[in-house]
Amino acid sequence: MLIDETILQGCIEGKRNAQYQLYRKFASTMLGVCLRYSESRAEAEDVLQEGFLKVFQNIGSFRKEGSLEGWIKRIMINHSLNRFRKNRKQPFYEDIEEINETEIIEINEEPVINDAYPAEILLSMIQSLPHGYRVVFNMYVFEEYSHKEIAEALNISENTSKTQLMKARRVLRKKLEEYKQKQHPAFTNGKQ
Amino acid sequence: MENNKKQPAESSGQIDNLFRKNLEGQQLEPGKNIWRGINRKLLLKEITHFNFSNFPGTYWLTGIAGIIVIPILLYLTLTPGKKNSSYPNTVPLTAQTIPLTGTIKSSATHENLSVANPPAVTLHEMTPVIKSPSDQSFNGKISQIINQSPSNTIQNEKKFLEIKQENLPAQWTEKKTSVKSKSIQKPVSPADIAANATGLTASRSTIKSKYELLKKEKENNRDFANSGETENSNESIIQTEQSIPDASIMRMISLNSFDSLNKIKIKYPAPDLVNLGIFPASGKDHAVIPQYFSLGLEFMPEVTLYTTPSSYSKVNWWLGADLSYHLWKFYIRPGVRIGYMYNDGAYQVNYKRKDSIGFYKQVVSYYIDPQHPGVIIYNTVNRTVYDSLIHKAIDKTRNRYEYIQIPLILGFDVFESGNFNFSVQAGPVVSFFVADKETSSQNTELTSSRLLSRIQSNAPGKDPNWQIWGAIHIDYRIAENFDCYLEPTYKYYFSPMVGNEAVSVKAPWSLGLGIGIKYNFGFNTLKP
Repeated sequence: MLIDETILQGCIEGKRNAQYQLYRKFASTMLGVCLRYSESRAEAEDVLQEGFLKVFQNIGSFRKEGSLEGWIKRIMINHSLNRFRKNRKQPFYEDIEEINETEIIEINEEPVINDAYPAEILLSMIQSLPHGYRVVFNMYVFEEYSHKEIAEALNISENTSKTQLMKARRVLRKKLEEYKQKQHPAFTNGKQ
Repeated sequence: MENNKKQPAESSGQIDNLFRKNLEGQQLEPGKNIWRGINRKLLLKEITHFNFSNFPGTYWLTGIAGIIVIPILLYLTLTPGKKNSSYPNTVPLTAQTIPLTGTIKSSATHENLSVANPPAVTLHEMTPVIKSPSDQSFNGKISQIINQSPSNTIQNEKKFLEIKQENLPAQWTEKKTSVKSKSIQKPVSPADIAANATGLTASRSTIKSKYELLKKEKENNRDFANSGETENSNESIIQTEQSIPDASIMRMISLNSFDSLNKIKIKYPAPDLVNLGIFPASGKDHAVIPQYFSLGLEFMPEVTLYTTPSSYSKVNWWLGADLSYHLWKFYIRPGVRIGYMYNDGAYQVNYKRKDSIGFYKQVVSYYIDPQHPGVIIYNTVNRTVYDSLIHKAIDKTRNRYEYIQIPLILGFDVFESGNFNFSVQAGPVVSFFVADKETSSQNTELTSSRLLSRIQSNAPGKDPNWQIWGAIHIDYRIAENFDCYLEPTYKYYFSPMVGNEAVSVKAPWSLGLGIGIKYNFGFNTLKP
């Protein structure tokens, strides 16, 4: 997504009109990102608002060597993670035995994903995940971080990251099945 | 390093792909209030991120003009005795009666004004009179005639002045007149009030300034009389006198002489306060209680000291304004301050450069060439190879945190010496986090497409923080209504100002030194 140089310069100079132009250009995309990390639209909009404040405050440090969209997205994600760190009251539960068990179960299960699902349904499924699951799932699937990177970012162990991801997938699979059952009861019954 | 990610089962990969395909790049229209909120917060940040270096020149000029004009306006509008009111409906005449007889002479060039029928003029003791500037000028001229023209026969006025002069300094009584007077039951002069009030608050707060004001006015009147403008002045006086009643002339003369009385507004405080001993009891030595307001501007560097761990100690800078209400030796001082707290932050930055380091051709399909059996044709696409190694960097930053502080200070004047005044203060203070300027890791432009950071700092907290404040206030009067002051302060924090969960931090205390100026206005008195 290209951005007009004058808009960028205006933002650097703190011009409100330019800031609004930039916001209009990226807000909808960034809201999509924030929604994945939040459990509600209200929370996502909070993150979006605070994230854009950080963008406007620090846009002078953007060196134009990468894409502006990527830079803004990174700020949104980092801000989401910061919120997650601050709000985290319980440490991640870590159980190596459980990890292995989870992986085995997952490998043996049949694939259930063949149909198309509405994006909003999938989003609501992610949002309904427990906070830790959601963050790890997002970082692994969408941002393509490794477990090692996730572990360092969230100050958890790699095993904990793996556990969270597996649990997240298991919950999502269950939700997908439930949704499928509601939408196509005949198909599900027939399969059984 | 990516192996552990690429190992999951097929179904896991399908789930991942399903969500990635449907949600990556998803766009949703945000609510309209989002931008409003951003706009409002940007505005607040612009206000709170006050920086002298980038402050626009026009703002500087406006600020300087404001600093000059506002005190003048305050002085003109709030100083008692200079309030606007319509003459002559100003004086309720009720308390004491002075029968007057006599003749008013202005000068040789004008006819005498005679008071044919002695009017019964009633002077309210210490009656508040609000004069307009024109009235004041007029009164000054009347007074000038009295002082400079002994031939004038305004006998009752001189008699009144003579009573007052008994309590005035020697230099004020050079031109005593020998006019007989009838009895006045309770003569009240500025000097009486000064004498009465001295026992309460010393001379600095209210009475001294009024005393000096009277003195200045007296001198001004003399200068005016010696300036050769007597004749013109008299003309205007005569013209005015002809249009107003004689009783009013008398009243104005006396009011000019008792200018300080004009500035004193008598109220009656709750008797309970006197009974409790908070205020002095009514009596000869304690006739009035001065009260006034102060508007202060203050700058205060402050060191917040943590005993555990000591490395958390910080320097804060406060800039504030407050309004004090002084009553006798007590004052209450609410205000608002904005504070800047700086903190060194350290971040460990993990990032991938994702720089392109080459490409390879990926076979996407193939077929056997029908023209040349045995020849296989491959369809390929170019795939870029990126540097996916994790790089680490330590990013040290200087962060700024801003707080609004609301103090509610109670003070007590301990003693005075000359223009110095020493008082002690104590009270609660609450600080609210307003904004921060964290140069966090996302600002370190590392040409990366991926960046993660871990904050390793003892960043200040963002919850409201209560403190108890104690200070010594050393005040020096630099002009009649302006004071400058030094204020060594001590604060005890009820909770730490840092937000590090990993370290046990004890509540800090702080030492600061406030430097400020204040403008005193609204001088007034209470009568117990």
